[in-house]
Amino acid sequence: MKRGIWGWIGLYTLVVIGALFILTPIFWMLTIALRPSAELYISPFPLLPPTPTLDNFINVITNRTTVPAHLEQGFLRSLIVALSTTVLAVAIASLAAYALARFNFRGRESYGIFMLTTQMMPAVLFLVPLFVILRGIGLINTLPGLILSYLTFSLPFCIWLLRGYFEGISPDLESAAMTDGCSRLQALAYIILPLATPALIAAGAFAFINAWNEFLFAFILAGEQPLLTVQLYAFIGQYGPEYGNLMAAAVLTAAPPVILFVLMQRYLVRGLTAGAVKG
Amino acid sequence: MLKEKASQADHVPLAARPARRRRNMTPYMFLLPASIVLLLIFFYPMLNGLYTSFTHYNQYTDTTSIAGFRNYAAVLHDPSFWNSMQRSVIWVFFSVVGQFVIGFAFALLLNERWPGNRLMRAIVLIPWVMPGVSVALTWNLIYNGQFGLLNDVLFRLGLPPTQWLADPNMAMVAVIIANVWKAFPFVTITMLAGLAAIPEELYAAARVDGASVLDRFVHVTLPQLRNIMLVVILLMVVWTFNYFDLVFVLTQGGPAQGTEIAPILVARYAFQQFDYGLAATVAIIMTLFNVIFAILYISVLRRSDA
Repeated sequence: MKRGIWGWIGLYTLVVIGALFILTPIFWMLTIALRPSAELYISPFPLLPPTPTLDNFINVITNRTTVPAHLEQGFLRSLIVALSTTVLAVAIASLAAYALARFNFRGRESYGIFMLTTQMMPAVLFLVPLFVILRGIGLINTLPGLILSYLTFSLPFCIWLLRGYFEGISPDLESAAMTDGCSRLQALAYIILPLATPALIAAGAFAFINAWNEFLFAFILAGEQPLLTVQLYAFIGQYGPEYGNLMAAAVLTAAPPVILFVLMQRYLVRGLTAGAVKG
Repeated sequence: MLKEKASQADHVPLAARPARRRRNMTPYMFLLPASIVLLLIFFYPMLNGLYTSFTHYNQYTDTTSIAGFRNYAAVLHDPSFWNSMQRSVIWVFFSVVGQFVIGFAFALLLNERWPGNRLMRAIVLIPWVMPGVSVALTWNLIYNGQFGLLNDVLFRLGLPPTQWLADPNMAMVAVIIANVWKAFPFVTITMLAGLAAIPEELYAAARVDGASVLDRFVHVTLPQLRNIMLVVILLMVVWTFNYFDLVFVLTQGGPAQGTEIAPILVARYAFQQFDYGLAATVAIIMTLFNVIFAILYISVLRRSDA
């Protein structure tokens, strides 16, 4: 379609407004993280840091804050929890999604619908029961307990996403392999999963990002083993005036999912939209 | 199709049945790990939550007793509950409207071809993949009374500063704006996929008929996107209603319960008052709302399809 000069001007006006809308809060985060705290109280506020510095980041990473936050421990915990959740969710979901995609069996439809209804449950409904269960099996305030809890939401989501993708793969290859003596499990492992790599990446990245970003369960179920998000929340009370350190920590907490997203963007967008467009 | 198969199977001689049954065990074996996990961490907690809503926990004696429907009666007479419902309706309505309008506008913009489009597509999803806690802290400093961005803008315009998070109604506006910023990209990305799926011939035909840009939008784009729009709105409503992190970190439900949406009330009942019965009751009522909303919504969707 041809666009006149005014069309282009109008279009780019909208683009600039849109970019400002997205980037302003991110800019605010960075501009505070990159200046000494004393420069927060100059009026009018200098939008760019007059003396830019990485001190806040260094303070936060090397525990040179008023009370050491030990974010490196939270970082490690968040990494362990997010990676374990991802591996477990994708592995278990692959099996279940394969059954839902390839077999006609009693309860198949209701299992599928059930996967969708899980996404409607308020997380707070599970808080107290999960707390009681985890305490009962000795997993309260432990990372395995938290990993288990995160499967509540990430497992159904991965099943739903992978099922849609598996259904789009032709069953001919598996049939051929199984005539050659392959078992169902081998067919899944050697034929379907390699073909479904984009969906596996999408499902895995979602499980990872959700686990990394989660706060409520981590706060209540493993407050004594704080993940990064919980440590970040605890920052507010402890470091009232040290806003620079606070924003540096917020940037560091947000960095892994944002970087992961930028790297995996193509898979994520496709995985995310596949279900919604079909529905 | 399924029924046909089943009735055919009924004519199979009895002796042939065990073999058939054994063959059908395979899907259940594949589903077993997922089912065990979901039983433990989904079904059981859900039923446990339902049960808890009919019990009363006494924190001083550490005992639990059966309460029948007393929690439900107590909740319905509790002004905090009605306040949270009212706050939730405002929170969900304005959040979803904002997310939808802005998200859809971005989708239309990104659906056009222009240099820089791919870069914009990459940054548009950043708010959505950031942790809620980081987003909440960032907006907290945007609303900050001393050096916040908003007061800085007011200062430059020669207007007096405002304590954005100190007034209950203003705080609600503030958390909604932060939430719109965080969640609109989901709408953008799904609508963008929807827009890409509209066949180009429809637009060509409309142009031949002399339809204007607006005509094409109203008579081609919107009807083609109808189903995906409805699905997206359903998801946004349910997710927003259940969303806890952002409001909790930004305002803790305050000031004066001004932003105490339903999930925040549940957490207050459970972890400040240690009244697990009341907490579970509100959570169950929330679940019912979600389910009823989804059923109504899907039935409307189905009916207008036919």
